[in-house]
Amino acid sequence: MSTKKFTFPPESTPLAGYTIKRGIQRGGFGEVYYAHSDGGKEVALKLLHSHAEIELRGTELCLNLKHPNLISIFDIKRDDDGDVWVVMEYVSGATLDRVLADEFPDGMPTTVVRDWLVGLAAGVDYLHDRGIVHRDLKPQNLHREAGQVKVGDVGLSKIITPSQRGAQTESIGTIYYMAPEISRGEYGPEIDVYSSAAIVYELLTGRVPFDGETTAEILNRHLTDQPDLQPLPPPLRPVLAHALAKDPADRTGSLGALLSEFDAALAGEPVSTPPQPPPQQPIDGSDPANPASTDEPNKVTPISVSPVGATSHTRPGRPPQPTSYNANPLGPLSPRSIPLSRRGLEATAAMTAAILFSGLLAGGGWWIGMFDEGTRATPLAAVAYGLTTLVASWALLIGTKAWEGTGAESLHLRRLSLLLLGGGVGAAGWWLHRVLLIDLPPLTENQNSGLVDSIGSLELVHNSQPTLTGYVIFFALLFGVRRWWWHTDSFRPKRLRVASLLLTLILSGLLGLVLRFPLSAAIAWGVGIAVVVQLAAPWVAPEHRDARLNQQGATDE
Amino acid sequence: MTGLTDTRPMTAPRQLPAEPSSTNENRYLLWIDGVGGFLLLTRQAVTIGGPTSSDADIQLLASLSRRHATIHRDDGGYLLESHGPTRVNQRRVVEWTELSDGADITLGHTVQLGFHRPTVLSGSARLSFQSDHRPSHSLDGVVLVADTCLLGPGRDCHIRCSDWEDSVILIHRDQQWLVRSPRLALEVDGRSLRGESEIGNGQVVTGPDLRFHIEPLKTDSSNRGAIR
Repeated sequence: MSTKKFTFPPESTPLAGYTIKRGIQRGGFGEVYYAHSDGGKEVALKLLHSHAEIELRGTELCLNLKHPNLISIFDIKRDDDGDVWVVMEYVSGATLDRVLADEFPDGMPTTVVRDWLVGLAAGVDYLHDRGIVHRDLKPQNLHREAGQVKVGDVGLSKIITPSQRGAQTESIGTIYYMAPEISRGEYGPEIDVYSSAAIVYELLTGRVPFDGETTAEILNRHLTDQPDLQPLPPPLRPVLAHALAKDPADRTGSLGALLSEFDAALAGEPVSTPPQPPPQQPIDGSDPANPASTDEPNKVTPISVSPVGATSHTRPGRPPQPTSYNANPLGPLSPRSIPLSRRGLEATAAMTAAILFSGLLAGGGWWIGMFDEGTRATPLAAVAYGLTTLVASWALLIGTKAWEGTGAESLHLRRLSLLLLGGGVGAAGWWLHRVLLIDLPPLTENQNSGLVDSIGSLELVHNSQPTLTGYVIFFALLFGVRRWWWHTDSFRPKRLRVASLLLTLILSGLLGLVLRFPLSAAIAWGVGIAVVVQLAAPWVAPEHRDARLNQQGATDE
Repeated sequence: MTGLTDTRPMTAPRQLPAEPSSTNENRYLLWIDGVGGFLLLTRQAVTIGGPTSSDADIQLLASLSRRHATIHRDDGGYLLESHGPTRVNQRRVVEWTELSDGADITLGHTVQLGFHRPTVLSGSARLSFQSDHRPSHSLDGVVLVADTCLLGPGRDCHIRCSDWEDSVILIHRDQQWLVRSPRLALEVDGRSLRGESEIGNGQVVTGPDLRFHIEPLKTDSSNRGAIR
């Protein structure tokens, strides 16, 4: 907003009783000054350009509204030259357009957006409850002072006749937030919902839903184009599609309702929206009206993706707490949508990396003499160890990558599946060692008797080597007891967690003792597998997880 | 009671300059169109106090003592001397502590100020209001002016004017304000400016997309519009 050409210089007193200190902003149908009254009260003075047709009758309807989220208007006066001045409460905080441009050029986190929406909704719903439509909601009109959101220009658009609200006299800023029905002269409270939704869209993405070269183009896009929902976080897409509906009858009923839907979506609940009108074909050929994949029948149910990591633990219906954004960052149990292609890619990459790490581990083990204890100290022992570790890692990576992002549901099923996978890996390991004629290192002295020697008639140990049953039971328990999906999830707390390695070490040692599985082999496999899967599985640093979610949302189609 | 996290009480290594009583000449208001209002303080030592203090340089509407803390400037930088409960970066200040760029100052329980030295090229520093405590009128910040005050679009400016095309330098010398801009064509009260130019009381500096003026802060009670 240009600061040049303020009509009045500082220290001038165009309106009796007020001394102008500085210009605040110019634009729209006026210029705003910061001034002190003779009594020392600081105010904002808005000068309405004299060419605006101003109808002062009826303004007292709006002048006496009081709400903490609305900027108070103290008075409206004419000066000696006949210019109209609005004397308003001065709010010191930056306007929302400034905050967005300076601090969040690519969009705000949902919790910050919510903070603004809460104040905006409270103020505007108060107006609507009193039968008044704001008509000119835009980021330039929203302030925040000491945490309190303040809506400005309340009732002012009403005193400027609609004929003056055309493209010639209106600031370009307003066009971006103008509901389509305004072109038909309809000024219901729904236009404020539409404007607010356009503001929320801009806050989330850093750009307005409908942009264009000319005012006519922008107005036309409001009338005909469906908003491009792709840049939005997936759960909020149906919420904004609802609030940006072309037909005011289809639109979200109030700003309070918009806020509720916003909260519900972030808490992972499906948002019920009325059926969308047949989508206009957008320029890029994709179908932005339907947020979910066009291949799936379940279109309006948002994929439960939440930047608020705690939402999977919160009861449905409870709005996410703003503070939970940092307190509960995105983790392995954060539900999110991961396209099949990405799953496949990540699993393949991880499995390839697992080959490398298993090889390194076996080679390193050979080099430090880890396999010298065996009755046959051959390189084949290292090969058998490495191959078994690799098969185990692959099984874990394939299994857990398939579950990634599905939230905290069916964890028991996961354990059972891992148990079975582990059994399979055990069988493979036994077969491998048999074929290669490799013996595991001998049992230690305190392993002469284990807690479990046999299951039914099946021996676990024969000739101090684990039997097929021994292998199967050992790997099944190793797989089934640990939460391996935490180890491989892209959103795990750290890439390689030493504490979890230690836990795995203890578990595999205990299993070795209980099942009379050679101790050094048990520990070498337990820790080896844990190291390989953690190093091989992709990991996203916490600060990039929000971006990853949005990116995944964008590739959903 | 002092805890482990307190700064150690010790004698200030440098002689803290004596504080002359506040006079009008050392306090100014800078009003910038589209940006805000700022308090410019040119003294070596600046005292912060509550509403009942008559001699504090920064008098905040806050529950503070009359003289709560004093910020001293010397060759090496800035020192904060506490007279009332004060924390810097969450550590309690016993007697005094050094202030470095980005320091968070907490006065009493609730008043929070930020201390910034955006550029090493100037000895000046800025205090930002982080809690919503202000002087009796809304101000957007305080500049402790050593020599120059840099206004402009860059992050290295004492006062950030995002919409400006380039920066403007305010120089305080011999109780006078001078203005200079490396690239912008400025006018003082309509006269074009070459090199450095003095800005008299009430004179308005204009340039492409910018306008500002400086006024001495009046302490006389007859000036009801003044910020006290």
